[in-house]
Amino acid sequence: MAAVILDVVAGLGANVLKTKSPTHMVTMVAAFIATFFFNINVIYILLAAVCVGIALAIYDRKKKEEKA
Amino acid sequence: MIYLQLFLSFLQIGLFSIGGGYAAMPLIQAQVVQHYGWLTMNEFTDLIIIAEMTPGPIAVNSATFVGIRIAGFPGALVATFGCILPSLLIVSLLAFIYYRYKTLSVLQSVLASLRPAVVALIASAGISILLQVVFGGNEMMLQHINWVGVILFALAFLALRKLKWNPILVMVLCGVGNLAVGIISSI
Repeated sequence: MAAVILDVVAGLGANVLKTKSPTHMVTMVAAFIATFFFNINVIYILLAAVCVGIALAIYDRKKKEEKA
Repeated sequence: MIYLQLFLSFLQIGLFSIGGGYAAMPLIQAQVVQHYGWLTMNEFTDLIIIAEMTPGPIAVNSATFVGIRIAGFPGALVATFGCILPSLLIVSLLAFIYYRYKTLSVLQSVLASLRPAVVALIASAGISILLQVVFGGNEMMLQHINWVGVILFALAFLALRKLKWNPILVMVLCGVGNLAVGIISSI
């Protein structure tokens, strides 16, 4: 069973690395450390990821506005 | 009371299991093993195997399994309903929003940021199960290592990753392999 799950993780993790987005890579590492080593509630981790997404969207929009 | 606990617990699982079947695993583990202590880590591992080998999503199968185990058939109904209710409501709402505002850049960005977090959570649950296989819940010391488990894991991982075998076939073969080793060592 562990092999099945870690095979899925390898596939999904490779997809994240392919995006070459440093923010997403840092999010992935930070989320792993938070859950595995610090046992932080999964729900807080997901909410933090949502905040990262919103912040990225706002940053991208500002960047586009500055270019325009 | 137990019905309400089951309902609320699986409501949370249903609400936050974003990213497909495996994403529900760490949430189920947090609620069912760590928070309420309804199942031991060993029972949780068995639950995931059963939920994976049967048709339907892991979260829904797990809800039914845990519900029956804790409070019989009504428990299964309550837990399963709690599990599917959030997605039912959220997907209906999102479908409505999606068709009104098809180009939601914020939504796209949020989903893109959730993906790496979900991968990390699944990895954490996978490693917890692997440690359970390797050390059987004992201290992480060389003499506690279950070498049969380690070899079966390595072979299964290779078969899945390199040879792209069907996961259910790999799980069945691992079960048969472990059984064979057990029979041989008892002779």
